[in-house]
Amino acid sequence: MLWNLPGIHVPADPLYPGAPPFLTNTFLLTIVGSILIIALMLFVGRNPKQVPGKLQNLVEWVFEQFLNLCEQVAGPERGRKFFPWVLTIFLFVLFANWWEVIPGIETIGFKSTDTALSPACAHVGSQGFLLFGQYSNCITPFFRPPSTDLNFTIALSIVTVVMTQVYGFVVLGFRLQIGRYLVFNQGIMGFIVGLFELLLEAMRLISLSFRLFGNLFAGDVLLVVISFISIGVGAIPFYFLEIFVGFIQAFVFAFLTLLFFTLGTTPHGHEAHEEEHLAETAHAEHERVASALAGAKLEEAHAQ
Amino acid sequence: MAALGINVWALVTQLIVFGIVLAILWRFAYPALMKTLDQRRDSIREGLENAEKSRRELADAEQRVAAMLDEARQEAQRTIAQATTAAQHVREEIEQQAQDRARDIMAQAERRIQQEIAKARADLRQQVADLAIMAAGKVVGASLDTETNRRLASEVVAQSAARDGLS
Amino acid sequence: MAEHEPHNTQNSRGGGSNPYQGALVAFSLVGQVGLMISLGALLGVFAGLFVDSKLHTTPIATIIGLLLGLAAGIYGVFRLISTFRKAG
Repeated sequence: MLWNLPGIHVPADPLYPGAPPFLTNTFLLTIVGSILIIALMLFVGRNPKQVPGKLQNLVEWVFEQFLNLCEQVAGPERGRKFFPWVLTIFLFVLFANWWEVIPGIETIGFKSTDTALSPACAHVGSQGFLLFGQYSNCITPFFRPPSTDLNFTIALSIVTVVMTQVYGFVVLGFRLQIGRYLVFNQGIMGFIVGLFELLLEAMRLISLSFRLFGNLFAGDVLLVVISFISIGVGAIPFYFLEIFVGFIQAFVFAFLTLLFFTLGTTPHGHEAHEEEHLAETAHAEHERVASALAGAKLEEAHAQ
Repeated sequence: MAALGINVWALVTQLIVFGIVLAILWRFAYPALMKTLDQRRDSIREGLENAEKSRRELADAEQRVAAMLDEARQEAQRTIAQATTAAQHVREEIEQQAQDRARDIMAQAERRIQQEIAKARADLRQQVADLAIMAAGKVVGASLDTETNRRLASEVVAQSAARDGLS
Repeated sequence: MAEHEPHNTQNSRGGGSNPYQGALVAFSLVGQVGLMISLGALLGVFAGLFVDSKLHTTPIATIIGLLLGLAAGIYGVFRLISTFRKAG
């Protein structure tokens, strides 16, 4: 066997033996990705050229697409308010996802003497810095895509869910926002719907974080396994697939964030209130006309 | 939780990193990009408006030109018609004048002929009377050539001329 | 119209000015719809199992939990779509 199937495990590995719990290989790439994002956006944003180059064109195009999306979904005003969150989440997730297809990620690292990977790993210390055959998977990688770490995806989901609440309180006010979850004046159904709303927040958190994690972790494993089975060559189409999936998942995360923000700042049962309001105005109008008519008749009677 | 690798420390540090990225982008990158984008949108809208405006102006100008051409064509037609009628008038006038003049000339010529005829007739009468007197004198003697006889002879000649239809 | 609903001044909500954006939006929604319902059912079942194990009432709470979870999921889907419903 030329090499072994690399170790597949869900938790991220510490960057070096005995590292503090947050200093993992996924965290390292989060930092690198963040620096890349900041550098890119500052470079493009701070030196706008009159005739944009390719890079500036691309960044501005993405920027404009997301701004349009926000304005269409949430309306021009709220859209501009939500927009920085949405675009930052998109970029953050996109850069986290695309690490997956960079060579060297997950194949460069410290030697690992963990015998759970392979029995031979106990003696890996005697090998050179290139590992072959039975030692090939005795590695703790330096780098691992952040989105294959639940801590990363849950952190972002928390950002989304918490900010939905914050915007809810800011836009709707305390009474309306609390009234969304604790409904006492609309019978048992109203109360249950309020509880559903509460449950929905939890479901949003879980769905956001686990969708991203599931897609990316599965994609990562897919690449590793296909590379292992086909000695690398067969994985090439799957690299393109993973680039695509990485983009899609980043968009989905950002779009759902936008949607949750929008839903969270729209008063609950808004349409129903609107109809009520219309009915009230219609009723008032009717009464006004009726009284005016009565007054006219009275005057007529006086005249005679 | 441990099997999934979830730990609070990692979670919080990821949150912090995201917060830092968001803050930096929000503060330093987005406003500039937003400004560029808004400027571009404005300039595009302006360009569209300008194009629309110049299109309208062009249409206007074309319409005006067409109207002017039409006007000019009508003017020309009117002028031609006027000229034609004027020429007609002039021709008729000239014809009229020519005819008048011709008539005058003919009338004059006729008058002169009449005068000539009358003069010729008077001369002839005179000569006939003289001849008659001379002849009568020759016949009767020289005494006849008096005032009374001459008058008499003239009357005779006139009467005969009237009878012969010479007058 | 715009005065009554300041948040809904544009009528082409979420449709996206370019077709790829519309496709991506649709993809996100479809994915989320499926996930919502299954996640709701899953959470309901887990909650039911937990209650059953405490009260020894198997399988009553599990079934109730499943139904409630499904209902919550469907309600979530309804809420998700409601933003786009108005645009027609």
